Amino acid sequence: MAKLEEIDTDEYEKIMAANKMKRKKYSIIIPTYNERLNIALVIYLIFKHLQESEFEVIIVDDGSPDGTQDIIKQLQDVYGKDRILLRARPKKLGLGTAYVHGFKHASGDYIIIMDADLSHHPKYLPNFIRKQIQTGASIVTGTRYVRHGGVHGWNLMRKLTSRGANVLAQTLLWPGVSDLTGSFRLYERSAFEDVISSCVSKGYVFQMEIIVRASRKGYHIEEVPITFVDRVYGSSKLGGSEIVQYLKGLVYLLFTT
Amino acid sequence: MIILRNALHIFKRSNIPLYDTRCSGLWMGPYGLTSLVHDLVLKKSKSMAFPSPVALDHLMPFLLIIPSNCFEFNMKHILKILALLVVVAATWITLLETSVVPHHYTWLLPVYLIVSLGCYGLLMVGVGLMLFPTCPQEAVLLQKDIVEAKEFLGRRGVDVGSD
Repeated sequence: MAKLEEIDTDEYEKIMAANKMKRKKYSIIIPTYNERLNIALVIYLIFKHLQESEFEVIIVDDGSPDGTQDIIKQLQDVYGKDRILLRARPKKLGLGTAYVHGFKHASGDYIIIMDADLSHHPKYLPNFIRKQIQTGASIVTGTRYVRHGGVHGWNLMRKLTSRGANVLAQTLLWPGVSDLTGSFRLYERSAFEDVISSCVSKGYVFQMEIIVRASRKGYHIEEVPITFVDRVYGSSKLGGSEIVQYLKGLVYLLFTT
Repeated sequence: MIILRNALHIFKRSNIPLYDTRCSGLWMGPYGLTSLVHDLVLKKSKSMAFPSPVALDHLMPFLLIIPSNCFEFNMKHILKILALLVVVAATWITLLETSVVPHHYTWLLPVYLIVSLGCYGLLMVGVGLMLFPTCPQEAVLLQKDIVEAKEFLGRRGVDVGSD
């Protein structure tokens, strides 16, 4: 019995050593605006949960007036300037361009995008990585609408709008993913570069456009359940203008993808 | 006439600048449909056993377009939907023509289809709403994580006072 265990350990160590030689690096891109407190918490949680992987965090700050960049500099003192990269921009220039800007400074083999407001919990990052390794997918997207996923902090009206929007999008677009507007995703570097160059929308329609274009181009997309706790402070309102923007986005995607 | 048109279509597809295939698809569809309606109106086709060969002849350009992905040509999504709609419309017209089903029923079929699609949509929304996954325990865990993070970072000199 002891001999079997020895062999197993040797094999295991060989595999781990081989893995270390071709270790993949992950670049996490986080766009921020006025996330002074949340960004520090997010960074702590990322470092806590991603201890076995090699990664870097790229924060694209759009000139936050509340001092987010000072906090990030303090975090760089704690964790190292090579792990946390601050790539700021002078003012709010949009989400899509924030990702492109972050991508230019990314050196990883895989790109992970997430929000800075703690609605995306970094504890799911190992799940994303494991799913990508297991299936060899080009894109792994987090979905809130399946079992083991979930949302907290939404009232009935908000859930109804979300569900109605989802059914409409599934009927019209046949996208192949269950959560179109989610922004917690992992991309292979080449897939990210290819898809993002052809996207032109703004706001969360941008997230929809990325995943629909990737689906049309035939990329292998996998899903991971995530939980989404809506903003701890101040509920994000869903007004009429957002609904109109969504419908316009749907029609645009229907005719151009 | 129909055979000539189909031959032309296949010939056009064999040398493939992408825009050509797309364009031929675009005009073949409405042309196929209008020629079908034209034949019906001028009573060129007699009632035949279902499925009517006439309808199939007019459908053929469309059936050629649908497996077009294997030609390295990604058909726009709207074209797929239009093709589906035209197939449904052609089936309906064939049904009208061949009197397999009583006429007064056949005229109402599109209305039934739309109403049932609407009901299905509402059903999916309702079911999804009932089975909407929630996670109240996650909020509690998150608060714990926040406390732990604030404590750790406070000790390291990061300013974590609330805004």
